[in-house]
Amino acid sequence: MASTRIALMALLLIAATPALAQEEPPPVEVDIVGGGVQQATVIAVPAMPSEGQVGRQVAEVIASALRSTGAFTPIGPAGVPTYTRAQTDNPAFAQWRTAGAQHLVSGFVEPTATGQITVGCYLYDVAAGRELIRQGFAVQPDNWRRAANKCADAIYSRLTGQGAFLDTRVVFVAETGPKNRRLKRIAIMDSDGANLRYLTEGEATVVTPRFSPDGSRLAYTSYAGRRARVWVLDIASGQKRLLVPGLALTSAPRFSPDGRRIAYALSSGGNTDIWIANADGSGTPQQLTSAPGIDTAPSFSPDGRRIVFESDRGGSQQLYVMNSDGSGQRRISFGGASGSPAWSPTGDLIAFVRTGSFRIGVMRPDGSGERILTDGWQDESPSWAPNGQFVMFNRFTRGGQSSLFAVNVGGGPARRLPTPQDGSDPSWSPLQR
Amino acid sequence: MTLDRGEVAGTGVALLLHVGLIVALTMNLAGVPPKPEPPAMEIEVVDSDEVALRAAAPTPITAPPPPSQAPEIGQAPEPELTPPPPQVQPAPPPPTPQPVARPAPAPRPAPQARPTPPTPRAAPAPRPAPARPHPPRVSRIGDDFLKGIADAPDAPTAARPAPAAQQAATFSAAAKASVDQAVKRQIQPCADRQPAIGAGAERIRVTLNLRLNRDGRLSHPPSVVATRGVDEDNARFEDLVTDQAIRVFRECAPLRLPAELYSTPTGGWGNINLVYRVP
Repeated sequence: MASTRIALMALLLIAATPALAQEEPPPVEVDIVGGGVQQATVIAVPAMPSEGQVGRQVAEVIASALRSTGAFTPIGPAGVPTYTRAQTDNPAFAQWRTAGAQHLVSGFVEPTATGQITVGCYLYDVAAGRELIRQGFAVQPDNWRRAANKCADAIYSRLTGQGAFLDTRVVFVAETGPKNRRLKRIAIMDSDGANLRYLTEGEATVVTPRFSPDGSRLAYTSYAGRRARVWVLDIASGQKRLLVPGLALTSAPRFSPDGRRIAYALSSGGNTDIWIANADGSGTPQQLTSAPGIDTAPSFSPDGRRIVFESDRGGSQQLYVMNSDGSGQRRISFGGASGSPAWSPTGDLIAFVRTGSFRIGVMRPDGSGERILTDGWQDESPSWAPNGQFVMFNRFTRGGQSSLFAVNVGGGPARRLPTPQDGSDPSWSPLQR
Repeated sequence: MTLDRGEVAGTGVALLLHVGLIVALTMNLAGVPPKPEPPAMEIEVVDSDEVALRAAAPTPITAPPPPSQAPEIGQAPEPELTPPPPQVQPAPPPPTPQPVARPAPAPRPAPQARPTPPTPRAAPAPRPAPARPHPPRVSRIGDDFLKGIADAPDAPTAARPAPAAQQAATFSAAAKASVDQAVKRQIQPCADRQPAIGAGAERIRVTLNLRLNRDGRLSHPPSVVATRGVDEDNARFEDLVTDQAIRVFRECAPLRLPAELYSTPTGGWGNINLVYRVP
């Protein structure tokens, strides 16, 4: 009897083996092409639950920062429902769909045991019902704006694929007073216009402030003693020193990407050339150009191996590129007069001023693909956002007033940055740590 | 009172007949075979919360899923943003003091109760349950859906059980093409709403594997089985293309496809690879 059972089981196994070995048929393959719709994403930013009003304020900063990118149309915090702490990671998707939101930002603001606050930052894909971001930022209570901008940066990067740029600062020349007694001071503020303070007191006119790559120092041109000279300022301590000791006329400084050198223009005997010096003042400066005429406004490529600058050596103001040791100089612009070049942090574009019409444009490092981005009365001094997606510049009105603007390198309208008084010569900081 | 002979005889005959009738009836009834007793109905008593959990939102598409997975579009509305009762699940730990890049969500206990009061049986808003038939919907399948399938009967809805004859359908090239067209027809409106991403993203092809139930909903979270065309320049867009592929399906789900082509020995729409790209 037992042997019969074993034989039967063996037969069953043999019969079942082919079925077990049979492979699953292949899936049906369906190709779908997405829409590529060119319009801002609607994102809901309701007030975050918190003690007091800080949760609403954080949401307001996030919504404002996202709006400034041009990629989003925020709804809220005003006019949209609030939610409880328990609903932070359990949103009512159907309600937000009904409200027309494609994405939702939720979070919370809570005190920590160490006296800080934690700003929770959650991002949801409303249509798919998916969580995309879950982060948190602990800051001092009076520094909640930075946490909000960090949250906005995380959202911007996740939904656009581009690098962060909202938690940054801007230095610029703040201009006050009548034209014949114009007071020009270096000011620094968050990139949304908050926390403005002055780094110089107006004892001398200053122009062209430029951040170091780590954001801790500035190089700028000061007319103290009625001589244009480049100074280096430590932002935290306020200490400053001449880049090149002596009375040489220096201007238009720009840090190298590693922060160890500064390229600048030196004027002597009616000629202006590009020089390079160690940022800490050590060593001997080196001359990079020697052509007759004015060579100025140097800007490093992000790998530090090349420098773009403007020169009138060919009879009109044009852009030239050379190796960072001065070799291989060649002209890249051949259209209208161009100046004030700034090499993109991503390396693929150079922003410049079309000096005849005072428009901001971009071109590739080989001079091809030129595009004009702005159409103001007089636009000058381009400076790149650290993600290489926006160019900040100053725009003069017909009345002579100057304001800071930023424009997407892909096109679109320029957005004005709020400054308490006239501003010019902006420099966008790297992303803050 | 006396009885005459006729009356006595009649009474006797009547008695005999009654006795005979009783005997005959007794014999016949005894001959009826007993009916088999119906099997006992098994009733499992479950807690009402458990019923609610089983009837909760459809299979989430992310792993691990947030407790906030929503029903598909077209389902019963979710609760209003009114203060909910205390959650069953404790709140997740607050984020760490330093910026944390996408920390893995903490392991969660089994699906939690939604923030609505746990009265699923009496709740007026039914939750989508995979076992239930769909509420009536307007089919997105065109009249020419089965064009090219010679012996195809009228297309039944996926919720209807397929007759045995239909279950023997084969997944011919024509059937495959028709399924392909039907899926495209249903998903493309959602694909058309997706935003532009960025230069270089058009080179990326994301293949999502979708395992579907017969009701056209996901039975498993979608999985990325292949990504092609990613290079140094467009790698930052890979997540965005994947996001869109998932969103496209979720927005237009559930699919309405012919039940007889759900699964055949040579394939079926229960197992779909969605190859997504942007223009």
